[in-house]
Amino acid sequence: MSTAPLGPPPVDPLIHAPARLSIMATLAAVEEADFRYLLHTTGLTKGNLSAHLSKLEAGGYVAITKTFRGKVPLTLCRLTPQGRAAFERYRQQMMAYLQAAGPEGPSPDTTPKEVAP
Amino acid sequence: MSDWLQQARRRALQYWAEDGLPDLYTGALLLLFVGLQAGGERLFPAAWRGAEQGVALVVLVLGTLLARPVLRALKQRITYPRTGYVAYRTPSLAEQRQGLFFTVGLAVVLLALAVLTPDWPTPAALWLTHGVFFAITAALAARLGLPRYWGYATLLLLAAGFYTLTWETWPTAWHDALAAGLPTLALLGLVMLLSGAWTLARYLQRHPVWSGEAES
Repeated sequence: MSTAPLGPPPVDPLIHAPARLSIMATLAAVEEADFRYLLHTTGLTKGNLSAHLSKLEAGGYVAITKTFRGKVPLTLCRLTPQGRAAFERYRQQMMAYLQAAGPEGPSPDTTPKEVAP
Repeated sequence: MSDWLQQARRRALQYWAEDGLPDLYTGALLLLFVGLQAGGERLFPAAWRGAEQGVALVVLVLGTLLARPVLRALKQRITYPRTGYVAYRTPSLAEQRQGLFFTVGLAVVLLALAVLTPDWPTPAALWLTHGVFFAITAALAARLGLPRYWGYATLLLLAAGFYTLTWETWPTAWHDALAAGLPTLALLGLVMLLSGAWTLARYLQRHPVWSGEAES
């Protein structure tokens, strides 16, 4: 059995922020959702949600379609295949990290470090 | 972490039942099903006598098949303008296969019950039918994680216990209906209807229609 330290897992900083993680997790569970649903589910403010969605869109993780239902603007958001893959990778990395940390919690030298997506 | 992600997934499922519309629909469908079986003699022309069970079953199956499109149409008017629109992911092939096995298995069990219970009106048959209803409701409650669905499941067990304890006090003519679970389904339908109406009223009160302000 190897006793070499597992080392810190790489974590995608675009997903790692709590607000964006919440958006990604919400969108990962559905096919697509509108802005209102994300507001309702994540509990973020309009400005906050809008800013984080823009970042995720710029990173290629979320596709945003602006349309109208009647006269009401409708902003539809969905994870891109790249975003879905990145989220799954992030999930597996975090699970591996938490498993390695064990029930006593992570040691300082295995704290996840953010890496570029 | 996995708990949190599980919760995020579950949250999307719970959203389907958040407005109480599925409870209202299911409650109405159950009452219609029981009503057709119990009052069929008075509702149908003489030529249809004896066909009440078949008609009620067809209504139940049709109602189940139409549930999704009907609820979606209602949500488009009531829910989406308030708390947003969500499209659910198409189930994977494995999930679809699992669903098919479950549905076929359930149909076989229900058919077996329909064949067995008329000649077997005993408390054991009552527990068998109520056990199946409980399993379906509990599976739904576990999947959704909504307390009121656990309430519905508990109601089924309580009803089974009550009818078993009072079995001898019921007229013999009622034993078939009790074993088939008709009074329990009627009670469950009524409770779901009331609970759905209350949930919808609370939902409408808490979530006014979106003003349509700029989103981003």
